[in-house]
Amino acid sequence: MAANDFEPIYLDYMATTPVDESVAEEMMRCLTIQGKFGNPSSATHLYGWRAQNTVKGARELFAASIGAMPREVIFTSGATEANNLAIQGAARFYAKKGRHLITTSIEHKAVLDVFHALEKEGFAITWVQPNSEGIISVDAIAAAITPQTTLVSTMWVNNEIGTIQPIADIAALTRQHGILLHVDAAQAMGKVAVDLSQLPVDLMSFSAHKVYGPKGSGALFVRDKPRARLIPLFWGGEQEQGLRAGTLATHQIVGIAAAFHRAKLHAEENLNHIRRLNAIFLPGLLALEGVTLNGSREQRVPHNINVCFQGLHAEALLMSLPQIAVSAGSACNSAQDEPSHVLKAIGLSDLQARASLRFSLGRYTTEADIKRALEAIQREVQRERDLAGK
Amino acid sequence: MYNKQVLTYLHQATVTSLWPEGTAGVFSAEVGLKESGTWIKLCVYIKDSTIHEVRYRVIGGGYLIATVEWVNEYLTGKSLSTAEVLNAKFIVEVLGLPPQRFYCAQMIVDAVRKIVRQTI
Repeated sequence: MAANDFEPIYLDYMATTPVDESVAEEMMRCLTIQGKFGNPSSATHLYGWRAQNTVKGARELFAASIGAMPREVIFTSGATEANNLAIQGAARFYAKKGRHLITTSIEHKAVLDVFHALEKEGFAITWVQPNSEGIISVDAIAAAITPQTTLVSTMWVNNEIGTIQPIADIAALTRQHGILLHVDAAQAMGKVAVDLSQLPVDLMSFSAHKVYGPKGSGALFVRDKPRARLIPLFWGGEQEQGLRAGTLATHQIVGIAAAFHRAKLHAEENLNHIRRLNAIFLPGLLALEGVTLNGSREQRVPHNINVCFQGLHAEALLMSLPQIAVSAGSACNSAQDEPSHVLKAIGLSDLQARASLRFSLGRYTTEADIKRALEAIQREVQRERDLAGK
Repeated sequence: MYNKQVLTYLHQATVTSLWPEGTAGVFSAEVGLKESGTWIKLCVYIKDSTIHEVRYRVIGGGYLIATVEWVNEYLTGKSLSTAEVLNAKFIVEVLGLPPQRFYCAQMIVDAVRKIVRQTI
């Protein structure tokens, strides 16, 4: 998608997506004097009731789109807050039972940093390593479990290399051991089938802006039976069953619900579109000399293409390709100079990690975009190889 | 946001063939290591104490490529004494390099100084 010939081709859909226009319209209807602007907690007048009904409807729609019950949904400001609530909340609630937690070394910062903070508080953390394809093995998690373990946290779809973790198998393992499982599913919705009625996961974090919804909107699924218990992050009201104080943001809740509903409704059609684009883009990139794919080729979402341009610097490519909007990895790390912790965890050297770029495809990407991007990349890679005398 | 100056020089960088070994009046210097992914080979054609032409090879990030290209433009037509006093701080200021890219300026200055020493 390029808005016009002068706008860069957007290939950074795993960083964020534009809001679907119909989602934006629904959100707008909750903001103004003509709309459902009332406080959903105002129980004494029509404006409050309207907003309350709107939130109720959105909660039902959201819950249905992930295979959950409405009471199992806690709306948050995003996946980062949902991750914090799940991990801190569960770790602290069950601290008397045990103070050992398990996570993986390839999580997003919104999970890694929470565990680092808990480690400073005295919790023992085991960091499970992935294999060279970026897959976490169930056996590796099983080997890390101790009688003190209360929580396992892993992502579903990796934000940098797009690998899909074996969540059903990990959930079966944690259920067998009576340990809580939290899954960071920020990148999962719309890319893999999410059905919590079939998946024994206790806590799952979601983000709206990865699925054509608004930024600043997320949710935490908290299983009801058996109930996953949490200590809230902050206090100040009884909203969201006392787990998330603060006035409910009707428009944000409507936004995430509408975005998730559409993602589920059009899942197959969108996935086929992305698969078609991937089938052009990936072979086109791999045909260039010295380009290799990072992460598993099979067990990954087609939206993500993370490749290493051996011998080159991703930074130089990024700077030299203003016609393409792409990133070297997580947007949350892009201001830092450190090579990606995910690429290093799957065995890439610092140099290889610094030579890697993440392209991510989305609903508005066209075949023409892909072809134009490939031509530009091909030209620039050749120029930089020539400058290097290779 | 990338610095506009740096982007201009990065885009301007073009490949020219290096002079054959032993060409009269050509001096060259290498800085950095190819294996570490940061390397410059600077070649300069000098006649009558004046730098007539600069050619190079570079492996590195966008800031390093831009810095080398800037030096190419800056030194062409200048005297050896101008090259001798070139320093990293000056390059950082002129190009607006971020502090963590100071090494790019230092590498090219080291290369220029190696060449100047060969001419004495």
